[in-house]
Amino acid sequence: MLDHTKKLLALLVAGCLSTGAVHAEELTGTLKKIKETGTVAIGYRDASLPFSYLSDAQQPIGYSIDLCKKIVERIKVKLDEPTLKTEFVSVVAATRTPLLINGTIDLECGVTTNTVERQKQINFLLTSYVASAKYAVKKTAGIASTDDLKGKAVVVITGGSGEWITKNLNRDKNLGLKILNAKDGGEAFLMLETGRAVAYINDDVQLMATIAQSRRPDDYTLLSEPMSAEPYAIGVRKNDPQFKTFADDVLRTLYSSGEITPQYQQWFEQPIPPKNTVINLPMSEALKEAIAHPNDTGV
Amino acid sequence: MDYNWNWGVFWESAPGESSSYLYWLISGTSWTLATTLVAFLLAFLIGGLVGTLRTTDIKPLVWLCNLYTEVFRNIPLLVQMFICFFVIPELLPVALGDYLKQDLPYPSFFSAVVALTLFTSAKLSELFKAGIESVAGGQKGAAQALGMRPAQTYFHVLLPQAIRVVFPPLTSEALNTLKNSSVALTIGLMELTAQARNVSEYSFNTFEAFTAATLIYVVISLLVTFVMGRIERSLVIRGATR
Repeated sequence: MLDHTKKLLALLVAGCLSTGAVHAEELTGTLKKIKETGTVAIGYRDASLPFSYLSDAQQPIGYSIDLCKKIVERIKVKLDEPTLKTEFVSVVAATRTPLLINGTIDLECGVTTNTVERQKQINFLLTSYVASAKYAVKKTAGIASTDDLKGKAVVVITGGSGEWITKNLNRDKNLGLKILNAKDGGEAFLMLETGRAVAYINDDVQLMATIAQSRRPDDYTLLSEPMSAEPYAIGVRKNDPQFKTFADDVLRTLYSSGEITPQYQQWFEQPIPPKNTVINLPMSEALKEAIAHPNDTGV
Repeated sequence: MDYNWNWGVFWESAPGESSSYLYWLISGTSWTLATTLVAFLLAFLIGGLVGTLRTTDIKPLVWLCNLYTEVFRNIPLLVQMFICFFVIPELLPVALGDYLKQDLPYPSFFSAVVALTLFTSAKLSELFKAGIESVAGGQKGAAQALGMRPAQTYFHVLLPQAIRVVFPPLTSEALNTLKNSSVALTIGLMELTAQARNVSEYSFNTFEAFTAATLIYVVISLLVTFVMGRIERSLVIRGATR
């Protein structure tokens, strides 16, 4: 009996202490969930170089993953839970939102463009990368601008922004394009490689990563016309201002301290696993702007 | 779960698009139906032929048809579609390969139908073979004793009975073909599942998109079951023991 009371007392004391440590603010939403489960779940993509992909050791790595790890570090401090577990959950384009909404993952750390349409379902943290959609072509195809695509086959990724960009281009310039669909970047590139399509549209950074990994990187080039600006951001659940503010602050600190620059260089200008390829893409003006003036504006 | 349900999403349209999301699903449904119907009918004919030949006494043909069945039945459909779409055109003479890749209209539909037909026909050949073998052996002997030639034996005695035996599992195979047609999204055919994914990607209304696709699949499946059931009943011979 005495033992029981002691335990209860200890529990009470511990309870008081821990609430004291977690500031005055009451935890809600995601932070509360993380505190209760002792786990933070990160959604990653298995092959989205260099943002979020699996290393040889089957560990998720990449630019987005690093940003998320920074956020997790700060969660540990905030919640005073140094032993907080990080659980990695593989997501694909179609599952990233449902898994975020239903609580399977707490942070979506892949490559997701912040769009106004998508903001109806989830919230985005501050823009962490700005890509622009471009067409990749074979150098031998003799295509210098989108006008040269007239009557040719162009492959788009189903559901990607390249799809409607291409449809609009087709309509506006009356190009008579044959628009082919591919399930993902791998298949889209295969269609370009095998000659089913003469051009493949995707975000420049993803095209450069795919080309760098391909068998003959020198055979391909990107048309210089930027077709869009795509702000990439980490996804979090809607209606959770506490977590969003907290995570945004982590990013803001990274941006203002300049810590983001070496972080960027590591993934975009230096050799990256698994094949030690270099994407060789210096920081764009648009990204510099997004870092100087952090924002979460969608397109 | 803090999900923003929006069943009205189907009447909305993607940014810059004039057609609604509902239209996307309808277009996907038509591709699914077209792929399923063409592939299943062709598979029925080819599978019927191959399955029948496997029960004959012509050894080289039996051997060849067995090989056909084993090859196409045992390679995953996904792999077959990939090979059909990406690899075959590279192995053909350049001119023909280029034709398949660049000039053929609806290249993914074509590859999907070919791969799905081969895969399904291999399974149907197994079905037909089993059906023919289930017809009592004495009947074949009796037909021959009456002086029927092999072709007559098959067309007048064995096949009419076998088709009645294989009909119920044939319905399952028809349903399988319908569901297997969704694999074609991997080679870029914008069938129902692909369009559901598309709606989900554009609107992020994932649950609504896939719920709608599920319902459409259920309705088509029930229709197939109903139609096949009617045909099956019309085939019943009164007084037959089977």
